[in-house]
Amino acid sequence: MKCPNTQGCPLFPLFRMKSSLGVWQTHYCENAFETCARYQLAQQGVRVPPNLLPNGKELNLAGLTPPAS
Amino acid sequence: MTYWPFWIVAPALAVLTVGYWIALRRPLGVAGVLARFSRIAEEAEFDRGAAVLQAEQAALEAAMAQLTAEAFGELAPAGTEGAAPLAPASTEWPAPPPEPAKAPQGRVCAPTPTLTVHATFLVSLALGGFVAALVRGTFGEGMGKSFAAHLGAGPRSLLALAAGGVLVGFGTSLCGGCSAGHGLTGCGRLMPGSLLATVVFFASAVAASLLIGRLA
Repeated sequence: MKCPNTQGCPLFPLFRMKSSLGVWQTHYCENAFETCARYQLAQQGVRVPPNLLPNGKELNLAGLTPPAS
Repeated sequence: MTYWPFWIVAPALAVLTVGYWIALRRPLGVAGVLARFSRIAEEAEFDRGAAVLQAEQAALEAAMAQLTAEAFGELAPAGTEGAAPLAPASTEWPAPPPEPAKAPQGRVCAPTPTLTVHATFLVSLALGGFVAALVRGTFGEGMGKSFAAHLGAGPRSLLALAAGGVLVGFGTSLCGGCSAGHGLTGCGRLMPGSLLATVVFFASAVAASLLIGRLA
């Protein structure tokens, strides 16, 4: 069963495009999506923070700087 | 004040509601848009976060590689530069077999638009009312004769409008939508909560109108 919110999820395209991140898609988006923190918030009608990960942890946006080349 | 006949207004509202969904893949609602502006700081922070995610794709991938290793341990494949060494397995979850891709199911909403988009919507809403009043020659007539007959035209009417506004704001926040969101979009989608909310809206409105009519 696939998560019905994948089309509007900003993280889903990243999980789908990068094979190294595909484990998120396999685990949450395509299987246990009811356990996804983003899905659970969306179900409550609450706007989902963009940096909230499916496992409930938050990505530190302030520390998101381009990697040194 | 005369209103347009229902056989024009009703199809126009239907076209607007369905067209809004087709064009934006979002349910039409006004209270929800206004509610966003009541928590503007948090909403702006969300918009900034979404923009950062869009702009910093390379850094995002590197950060996500590390978080993937932390979340899934040895199940996470290595292969992205900058990824942290894999942590010991922290879960007993077995990797399920991949399923074939399916088409999106149900009524899929587009992501929440930015505040700028919703601000444009609200400004256009007021502009539409202004243009309609000019076209009909009713600009400056106030709330109409019926309103003035029941509540006057002085401070009493302003007090009534303020109190009504507070009640509408409280009620729509409490039940998650207004007559546009529940009455048009929700009923159009046969959502049980919206059907119930709309019944209560209009029953309460009829009761309140009758009561005010008797008291006036």
